[in-house]
Amino acid sequence: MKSTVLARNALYLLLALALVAVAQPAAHAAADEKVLNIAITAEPSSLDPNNGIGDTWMFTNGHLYEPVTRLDINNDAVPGSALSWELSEDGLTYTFIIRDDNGWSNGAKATAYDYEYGVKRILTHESGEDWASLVFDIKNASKVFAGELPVEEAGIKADGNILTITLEQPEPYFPKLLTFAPYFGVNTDFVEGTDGKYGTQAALTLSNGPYYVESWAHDDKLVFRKNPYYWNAANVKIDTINIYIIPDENTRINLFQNGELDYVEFSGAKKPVVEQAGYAVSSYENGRSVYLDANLSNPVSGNLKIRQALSSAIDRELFVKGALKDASTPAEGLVPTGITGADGKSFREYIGKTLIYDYNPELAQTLFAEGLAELGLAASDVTLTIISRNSEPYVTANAALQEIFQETFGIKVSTEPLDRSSYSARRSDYSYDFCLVSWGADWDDATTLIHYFYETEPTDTARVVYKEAAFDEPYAKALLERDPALRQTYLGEAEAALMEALPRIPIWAEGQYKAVSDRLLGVHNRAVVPYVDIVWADIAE
Amino acid sequence: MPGYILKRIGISLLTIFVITTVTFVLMYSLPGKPFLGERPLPQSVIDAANAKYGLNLPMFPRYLKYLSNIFLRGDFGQSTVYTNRDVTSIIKQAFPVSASLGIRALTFGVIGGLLSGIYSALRHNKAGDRFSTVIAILGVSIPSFILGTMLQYLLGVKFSGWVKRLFDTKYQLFPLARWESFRYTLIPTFVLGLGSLASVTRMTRSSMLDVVNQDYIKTAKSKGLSDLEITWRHMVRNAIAPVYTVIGGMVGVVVTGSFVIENIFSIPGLGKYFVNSVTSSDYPMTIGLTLFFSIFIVLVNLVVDLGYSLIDPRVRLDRASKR
Repeated sequence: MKSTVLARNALYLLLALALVAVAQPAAHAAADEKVLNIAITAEPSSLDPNNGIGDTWMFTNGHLYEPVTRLDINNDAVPGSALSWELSEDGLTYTFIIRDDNGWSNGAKATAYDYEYGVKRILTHESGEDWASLVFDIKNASKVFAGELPVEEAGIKADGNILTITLEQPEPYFPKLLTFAPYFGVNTDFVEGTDGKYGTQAALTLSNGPYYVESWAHDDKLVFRKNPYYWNAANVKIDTINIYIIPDENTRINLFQNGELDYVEFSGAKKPVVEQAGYAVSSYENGRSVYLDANLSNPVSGNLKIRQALSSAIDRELFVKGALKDASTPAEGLVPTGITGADGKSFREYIGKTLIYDYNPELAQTLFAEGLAELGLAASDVTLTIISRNSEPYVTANAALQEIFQETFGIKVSTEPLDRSSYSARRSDYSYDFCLVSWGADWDDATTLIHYFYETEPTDTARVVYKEAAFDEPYAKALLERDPALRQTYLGEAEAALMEALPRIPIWAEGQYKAVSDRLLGVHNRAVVPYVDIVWADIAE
Repeated sequence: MPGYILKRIGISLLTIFVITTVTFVLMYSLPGKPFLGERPLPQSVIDAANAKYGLNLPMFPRYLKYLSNIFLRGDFGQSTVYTNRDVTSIIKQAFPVSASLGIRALTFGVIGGLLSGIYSALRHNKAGDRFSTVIAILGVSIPSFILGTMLQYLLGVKFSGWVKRLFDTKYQLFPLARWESFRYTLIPTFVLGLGSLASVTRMTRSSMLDVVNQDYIKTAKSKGLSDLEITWRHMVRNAIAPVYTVIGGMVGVVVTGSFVIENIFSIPGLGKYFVNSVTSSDYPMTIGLTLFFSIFIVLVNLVVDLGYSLIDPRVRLDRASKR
């Protein structure tokens, strides 16, 4: 008896609540204000461009700061805070003229010195170490960082509105590297007033880019407002960006369906859900290349013919469709799709496919038999260990590779998905045959994926590293070449050399599904950060 | 009583010391390093990062430094992931949210559980009892990520869409996610509290059933006391002690945050840090959280134990401690 009364009362209460709820008017923003609502997947590690890590950190930086150069929608490096620049004859010294009409969000003038200061913060250990090696391209930077030279010796100098950067070696892609956060400038006076806490809160962050951060509720929400002192503010159309931190994919999709988000990214598994809800799903290439990194010191994975055989055993088309089931594309080389090449084409379109040992089961068998003969082994003696992180898509992909290699060659493959800690330990001890891993493009040029092989030096005698003239020669030519098309051709030759030796066996280039609300226009995706660029986006009335 | 409290505080301090030491040893012996990414870093960069976070010292000096920082200065260090943010400031910012959610869920779970448990026992083996038993079993067995996802979709998307069409309003009674006003707390509180509600129901029910058939209840009935009085003064008062034990155990776990629920509903609480700090090798954060968590649990247990003497007059702490 009592319980029915209770239940009835509860029902009344719920109804009353619902009525109160319905009666309340929804809060509306000022009618003429354009507000964008988007979600990021994790709290940015900071809002300090010289100090932080992660995609969400790069996304926020890309909208809060004005780099010396900025990528336009064709992915060309165009003037950001620079009016123009010149490159010296030897390809080592860039001279940038910094515009004098750009301002920090507190009204202070943005200067060339801001950029010098930003890099020097890293070199003097005043900020983070995460990206230090990226600014080591600047002359003497690594020596300054190691304390072997005074900071004045670093090859970055501001004089009035002139910023001069001298490099260790020619890097024709350097203007594109400047779009990467460690090279961003920060305001000296402001940073020095934050007691080492720059970029940890909204009030301790200052912007010279299209937006500034008005509020930051940690783990919850950031509010970006248009920076009135930004030189190009007239072309920034959205007034406010509400950035919600929503870690769960399902929740993001639900919010998008409810009209609470204007942009959402999701995995292949969620594609049908979004489509069923009536939205157009599209995808973009996010510049991530996934490959098997070979441990060349181990006998089996160190054998050239075995690597070529393994590569030839993978039907990449089927792999992407059958195992990954997402927006990824089969690898055609180590450089992923979406990286710019020449003549208005992407690198992959311009160079074509360099992956010589693509799917060819007969060749795979022949090469494998030859490889085994060289090693004096039988197939039954071979056990390959493939490690990867214990997250998707690596776990699925690793299992698929296991099946392919075991069935094709009759060998034993042991796959080991590992947590971060054991993974990094195994990786630094080189305790694996192959490591299934990915590399995301840091700057929009093929070099971002293959520069690694040019830098590698066979210092440790116990370790075999890939070092071949077939790669080094065209790569060195590419570094000196001024003709952009010819330079890409050299890079293509260098990549082809890698694809012959296969120190890394590329499998797929990652793609990302996305859906955009009807009112959001002009959001631009690219293969380098910020992957989602809303600087020039607009909201339909 | 004061003697007992002093002794308990002593034991608590020892417990906390042991926990810090064990945590340190565990973290120290974890394979891998925090600053290893896919990009091969120059040694100078790795050295600089290790020096910054004090990871370059050998085990024993590092342990001493760690202890002195924590116990002498109350300094848990800086997170290696959230640049330049102190571990303490992150806990300070996230814990109140988790605690708020936890207290709401506990209130819901305990009050709901007591009511349904008592009701169930009074209606022993009748339809009402069976119904509340089913609810209790469901509450214990449905994982919160399923219940959370389901309710989020049904109430946040479907029900809201229906309300929107019917009343032509943008207002959402059950927001999908985030933590702003009271209505934002409804679904997460229900999901987090349902488990507690289920255990409290079952505990209350069985403990009540033990009491129902006691002689003193018959006596009370024969004295002509009203049903309400019998239930409240003679049954519930006597049945509550075991329930109290269960609740005490829940407090520490529920109040410090749930990774799953905070993740589904994007609640800026402490839950995710317990998981993420380990997977991202954020040593200072992991150690800080472990310590915070253990101090919290130790304190809660102390309060719970002290509370016994209030709930059950038969418990005498002083005598127990002198024996």
